[in-house]
Amino acid sequence: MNLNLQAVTARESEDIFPEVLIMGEVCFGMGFPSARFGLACTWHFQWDEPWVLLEGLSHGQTQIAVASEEHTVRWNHPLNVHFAVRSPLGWPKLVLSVNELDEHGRSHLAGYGFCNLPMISGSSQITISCWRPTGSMRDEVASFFMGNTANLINDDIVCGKAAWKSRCRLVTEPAGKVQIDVEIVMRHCHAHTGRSVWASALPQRNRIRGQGKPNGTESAAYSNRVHGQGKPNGTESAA
Amino acid sequence: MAASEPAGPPRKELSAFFVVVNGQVESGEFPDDDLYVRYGFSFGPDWTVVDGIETGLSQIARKAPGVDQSVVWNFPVDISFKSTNAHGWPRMSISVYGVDGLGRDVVRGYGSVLIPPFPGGYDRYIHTYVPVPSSLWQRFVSWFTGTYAEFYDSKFVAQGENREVTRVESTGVVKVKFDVLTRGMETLGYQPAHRQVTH
Repeated sequence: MNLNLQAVTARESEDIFPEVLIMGEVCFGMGFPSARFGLACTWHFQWDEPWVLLEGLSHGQTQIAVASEEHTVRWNHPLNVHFAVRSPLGWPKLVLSVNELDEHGRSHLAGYGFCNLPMISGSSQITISCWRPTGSMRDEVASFFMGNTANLINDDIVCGKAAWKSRCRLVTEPAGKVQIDVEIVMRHCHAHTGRSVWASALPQRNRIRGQGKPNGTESAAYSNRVHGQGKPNGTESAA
Repeated sequence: MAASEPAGPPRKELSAFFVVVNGQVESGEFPDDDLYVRYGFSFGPDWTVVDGIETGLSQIARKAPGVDQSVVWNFPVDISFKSTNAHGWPRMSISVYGVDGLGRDVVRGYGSVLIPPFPGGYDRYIHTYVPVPSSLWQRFVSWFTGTYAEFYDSKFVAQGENREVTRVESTGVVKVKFDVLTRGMETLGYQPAHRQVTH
């Protein structure tokens, strides 16, 4: 993260760049069919190239919570990330998957879901409706008796590029809902410094600095927008 | 902890902003009786407490006879922060303890809440939970001896790391009221809350 910070401050030191802070909480899950033995939620933020993570955890896993009588599992998991933003494109999303434990302590997939994060400052309560993929008839019979549900090999299909390509091949069923509270705090995102940063940050040749010359590296960043998969570049997390 | 720098009138070229939090831990609803509450704050390295008290320990509150299941603490929260960076915004972590029949302190719930980052008045409901042992035998032992698992650090619930190793069950709810004032944030380029949105 420090490296990212240095990279950004070195490049943009003579100018102010917008910052967006996302704080909040993965509050609770409800409506998941088998929450008796515990449910945990694994989450990560997913953003595109113009966003740079400065501080905070971009991925994590909540505690394993056992359902109370009203079928709600309390996660109370803090979210805290700080981004430097060179363009509103690639606004981060929160992607999550919920896992359930069975009576033998084995973990199975309970659901996937994602939400877009609000693009204005303020507080929001977001309810994410989750789904899980269903397998063939045989898989479903097996999952009924054995409990091992079908899961995705790659969760890029949840809201990555693969969603448009491959979602059409899935058959899914609803799983449950996850409640998220987020507070969006923005800095230097407004025209109050005398210029609208967003307006100049739209995908033109020269953004932010306004009247600069066409900047080859920055427009190249647009032609191949890679997914910052909620993880620092290049590090495969040991999930 | 004590006032190292008074939050005086705004000076020219304010390089830091201030967050003033007044509030109270109002009440709670738990199956148990004789409860007291302890709170503390967790915040990032850029933050300092300029005024007020960082931890609180309430009186022991008892339920009233009748059907009302709530206990009232009405315990004050009064703290001011100073920071140069909005990241690491303070969170309040709360732990509720009860006194059992033998006079021992037993934990009845943990929870945390973010201090609202925009000025205003807020009611926050913290749904608390306690760690549970994973095996049935341990659960029986803790029931039999009356000693329950606790978190080593009560501020653990305000952090995002290492949470996956714990297994919890929910216990009750604590109502906390906050009145929040921020000063100097707009000078530093922070944007006020656009509007309340609900999805």
